Amino acid sequence: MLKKLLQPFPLYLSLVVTSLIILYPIFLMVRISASYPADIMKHHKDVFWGPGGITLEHWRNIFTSGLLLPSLFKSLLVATMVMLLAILIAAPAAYVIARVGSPWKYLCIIALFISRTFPEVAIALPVSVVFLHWHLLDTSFGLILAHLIKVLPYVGWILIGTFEAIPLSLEEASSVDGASKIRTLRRVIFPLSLPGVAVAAMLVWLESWNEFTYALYLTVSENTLPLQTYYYLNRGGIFNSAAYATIITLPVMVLTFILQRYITSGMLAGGVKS
Amino acid sequence: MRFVKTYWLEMLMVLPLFAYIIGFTLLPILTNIKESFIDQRFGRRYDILASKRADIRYDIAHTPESEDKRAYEKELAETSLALESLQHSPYAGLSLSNYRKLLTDRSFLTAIVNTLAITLLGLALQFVVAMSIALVLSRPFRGKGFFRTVVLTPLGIPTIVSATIMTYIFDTSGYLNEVLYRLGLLGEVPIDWAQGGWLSIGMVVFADTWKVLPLMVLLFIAGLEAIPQSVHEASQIDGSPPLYKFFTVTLPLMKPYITIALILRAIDAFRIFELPLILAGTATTPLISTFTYSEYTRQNYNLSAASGTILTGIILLFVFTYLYIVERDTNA
Amino acid sequence: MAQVILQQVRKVYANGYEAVKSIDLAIHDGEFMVLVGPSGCAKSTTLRMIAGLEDITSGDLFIGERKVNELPPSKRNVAMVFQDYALYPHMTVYENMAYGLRIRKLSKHEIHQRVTNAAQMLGLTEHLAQKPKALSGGQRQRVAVGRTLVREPEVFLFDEPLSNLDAKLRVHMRAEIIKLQKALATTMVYVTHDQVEAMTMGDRICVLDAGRIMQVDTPLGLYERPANRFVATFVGSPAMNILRGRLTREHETYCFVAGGMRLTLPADKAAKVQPYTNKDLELGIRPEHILDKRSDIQADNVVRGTVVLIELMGNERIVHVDVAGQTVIGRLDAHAPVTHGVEHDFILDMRYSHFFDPESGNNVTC
Repeated sequence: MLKKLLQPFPLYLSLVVTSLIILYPIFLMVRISASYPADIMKHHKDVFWGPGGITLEHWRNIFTSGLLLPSLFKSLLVATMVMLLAILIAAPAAYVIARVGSPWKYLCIIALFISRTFPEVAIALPVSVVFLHWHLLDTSFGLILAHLIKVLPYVGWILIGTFEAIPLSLEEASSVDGASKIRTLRRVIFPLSLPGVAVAAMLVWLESWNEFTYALYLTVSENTLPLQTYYYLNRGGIFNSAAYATIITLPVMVLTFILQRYITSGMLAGGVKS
Repeated sequence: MRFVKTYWLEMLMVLPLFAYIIGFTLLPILTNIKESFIDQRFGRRYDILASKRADIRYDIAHTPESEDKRAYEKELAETSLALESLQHSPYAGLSLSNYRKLLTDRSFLTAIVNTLAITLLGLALQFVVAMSIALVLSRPFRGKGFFRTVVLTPLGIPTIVSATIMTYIFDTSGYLNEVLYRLGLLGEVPIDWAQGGWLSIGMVVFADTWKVLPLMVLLFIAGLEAIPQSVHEASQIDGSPPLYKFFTVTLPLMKPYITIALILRAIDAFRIFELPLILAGTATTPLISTFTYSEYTRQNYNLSAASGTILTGIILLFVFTYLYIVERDTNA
Repeated sequence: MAQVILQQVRKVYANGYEAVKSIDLAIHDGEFMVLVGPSGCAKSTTLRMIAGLEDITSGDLFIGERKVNELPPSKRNVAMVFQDYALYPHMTVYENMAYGLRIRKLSKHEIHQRVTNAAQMLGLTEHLAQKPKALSGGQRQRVAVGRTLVREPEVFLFDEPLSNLDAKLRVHMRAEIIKLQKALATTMVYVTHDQVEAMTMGDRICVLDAGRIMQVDTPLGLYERPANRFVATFVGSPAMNILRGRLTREHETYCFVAGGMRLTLPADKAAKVQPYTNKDLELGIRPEHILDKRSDIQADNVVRGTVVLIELMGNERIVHVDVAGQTVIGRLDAHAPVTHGVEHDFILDMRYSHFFDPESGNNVTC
């Protein structure tokens, strides 16, 4: 049956249809953000293209609304700080775990895995109650702490793999050469782990930038970009939410394109074989 | 002691991560479980009284000796007394009232059904589509690179964004209805996809599949690539027809990948939150996670905690099944 | 330079597995000592204990005059060439070699001097600015050696450094390392699983099996006077023949009897095997001491057997012969008149025979 499917015409037809289904939503989002309201608010929408052309009025609107910059700034600040803190906390621990033998290593990896699976809505509840007491609700600092909850097990898992890839014999050679543990870390381990750490850092930044649930629980008025998009959606603001969605997507597409080379099917399979 | 002396650096390096996870993940989960066993009525009353007491204490500390201060102190005494008597009320102590309430709540029961339906349907759909695409991508053909990039595109779209787009499509006056109308499948009355029931389930399943497809395709491609070329050649020499070969050779060889992919997906599917919240809302189509959230917004913290605990329990079940299977496979 | 002394050194892992079972070894100052044995014999473990990369469970280790059990590798003043070379991939060849010297805070001038000297000795001068990934396997191996040279340590340690090289390069590098050791007159401890490598390189060889020392001796000593069956069959290729049989005595003559064979022992051997009269015994004799019987010469100790396999080596023939159920392998002249499947007569030169106790494996004739 597969052979028949591989006959040119049916194959290409299904490929085209599948591609259309996959790409259409993205196309739609960008188009809406730049279309005339009259074009979109019709009763019978134009599926692909409307009569009117492109307008930048919605983009102008959101830039002048005074709401874009604060939420953009908050999202940027939180994402960058989360990235830095996550690497600082998780990298040293990942190195130690990578070098420790079984059974401890296996236990640690399982612990990290399980802590990643807890539902966010269950954690966010007590966290928001506590943050209320600590006056951390609505603050960037509070959100940073919350994002770390989500991100630390994930980046820990990735970085364990990075450090495992550095051969132990390099550390042994460094030790025999006379280097102390700290010097070995500084001169040998750190430089060799940079590529892996860079990839992990970008993934963390993306996770924080896109994050929604904790922001929802912990924010009252100072929205992040995803939250602001949700705000507009709830009010039926199609155009504003489309524009915000496009803004959110831009850095994501850039970083994903860069990371694409590293997200090989092999890397994911490593996660599968545990 | 010698251990600490040799390994002090390592212990220091591991400490922040584990401290953070214990303090900010383990502790909240345990607190959540504990809170779920406290009667909602007690919980709410206690919160009100406790914060009132804290406020009064703050006021007392910041007011000089005066009439007001004595009034505050009197209030403090009253509040403390109220708290005391609360501890002795019939609502105090551990109780299963939240769980009882949940299991008789129509909305919650619907939530369980919805979550199960979305998980199972979603898994089935994602498995079939991802496997087909992976199979197609395993053979060379013109335009393969382009198609592969297309399939991987949704990977770069944040959940909030895909949810936003899907609302445009599934809106009552949205694009899907428009396409169906143009194809002649729909009359003048559009479908309200967010009305709950199977329509909403279908909507969430479709949206989730769109978002999650790239990852599953990558996973299955990895699984297919793990089958050595020689196996394919051997079956070719044996002359087995493609479909037969798929079910008797390819699929069994991919079993470990598929099992793990399905369980990991099930874990994520059960926790699904953003998409259903934005697409379907909590009113018509509750899911366990959105139900937990809506109780939170209504300040029914203990009820929310109970719902969250149930969700955690279900997920842990899947997690331990996964661990058991991996353990069994590595020892096989 | 320094001597290395192991006294009753034991290594037991956390799970109870005893990898090294109390070994005593004295490596002399300036000696090239080879540790050899089959996989799993704990030769690498022993080397790593000398380096400090493995803990010593009990016993004492001395490098020079110092007892070094508790010292970390960085303080033992040893240098090591790893099996996978362990070159720092992000540093140039120069920096790889300078790494240990920088730690010891040598002057820039001194470092430069030592590195360029070593590079010259090893033919690496044009590669000093390159990174390891730009070099071939042989070149990387030389960088690993260079790294140890510049350190001027008390002891050089080599952990199977040639196993990753192709055969021709291996032979070449073996010669280079021997030359180096002679030129520097340093103490070297060298681990290999290849008995040919061991025999050609070592001043003395320590043969290990399952964590125990089987024999420590010069190459010739191991070959001509193996202390037990293990060493006897480990060293030499094709391996020494081991035949099972009985010792009998007729008047003053002692004979080894097995199947249709009846071999007379020379007097000096006879004296040593007396206690085994009428008991089971094992005969060891090397393939080169199995001779073709020329029909015109009378001789003792003739054995008749069927030829089951002939390996044509060009300069000689290796012949597998079945003698009453036991296989004997001999090295004969390239033109010896043997035919597959046909019976033939051979002479065993009993002057070179060894006898081993069937249970302990010990050589009773040494």
